[in-house]
Amino acid sequence: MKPNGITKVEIQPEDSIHLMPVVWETQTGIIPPDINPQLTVTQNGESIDQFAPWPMLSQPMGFHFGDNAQLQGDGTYTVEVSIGGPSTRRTGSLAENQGNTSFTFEFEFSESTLNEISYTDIPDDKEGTKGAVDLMDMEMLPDSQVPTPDALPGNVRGSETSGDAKFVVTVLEDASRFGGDEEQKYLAVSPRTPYNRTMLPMMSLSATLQRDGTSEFDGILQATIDPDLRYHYGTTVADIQTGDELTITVDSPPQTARHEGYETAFVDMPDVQVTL
Amino acid sequence: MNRRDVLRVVGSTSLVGLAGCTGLFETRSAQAPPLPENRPNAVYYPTHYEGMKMPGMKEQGGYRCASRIRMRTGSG
Repeated sequence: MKPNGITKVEIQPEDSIHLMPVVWETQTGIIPPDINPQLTVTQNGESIDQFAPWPMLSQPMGFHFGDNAQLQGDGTYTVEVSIGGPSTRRTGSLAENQGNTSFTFEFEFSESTLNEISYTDIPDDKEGTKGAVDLMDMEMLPDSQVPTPDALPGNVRGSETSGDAKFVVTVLEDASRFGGDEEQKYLAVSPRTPYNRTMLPMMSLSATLQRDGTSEFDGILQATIDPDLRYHYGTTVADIQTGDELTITVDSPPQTARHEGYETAFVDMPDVQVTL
Repeated sequence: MNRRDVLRVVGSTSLVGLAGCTGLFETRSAQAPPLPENRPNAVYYPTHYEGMKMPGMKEQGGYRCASRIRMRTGSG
């Protein structure tokens, strides 16, 4: 058995599954990328596998956590999903959001169940060409999309592309919800994948704001989860005027694993320049 | 070395080093065909995609959690 390291049981490849815990905030349906789920798989009270799944970006599944679990054949298994406390700033009604809880599932595993899982081939003349598979319809599950530019709060001032990601810039008139005051503005940058509008979390972004050759802001854009803006990067600024030059620097691209079709994008990400 | 070990090693190095090393960085199903040739430096259609099963959903402390399963992925 794996846990005590004495007896080794050969695991058949087909006995392993890819486990994906999807955790979301009940009121908003937002899937927080910062709660680091830990999975413990047991069978009849005995530990089978334990791991912290990786954050991943996939076209049909959007942002999710997932990793392989090594099971020991057909049977009933228990999976405990524990989530940690938030490490990304939460604003508005999410500010009280605590995390630190756990969920327990029982599931029946059989190889025949795995055989029911669909496998869709993409035609040869389409694979490798620009585009993306649609997000899977996940019935009652929320998705990891961010709002369309029209649906973003504030005044959308422009958008630009870098590394095939689209960065939408919006300005909110009142920064008090974001640690500023009513007189200040909140500058929010909402990056998303093309085609599917999946959020691009776990980046490090910074920005400069120039007005008539003078720097009005030079600093980091803080990753933030807001009920309306959802996952975004932002900062408070004293003022924004028409014609201000915003330069966004991607200090590090999304620190997530990528499924096929996303591994060549969102890697080399040059500066994004938007005239507000 | 299994996939998780590989990813752990990768996780401690810089992302820049990964760009040319997609086999470690991306996750692919064990039954996946070879990657398409001439992949663009952009989002592209993969060779295939897989469905999943959802064994259950739970609610606790302001969060809901659903567990999903899929065929296992290999290191490609």
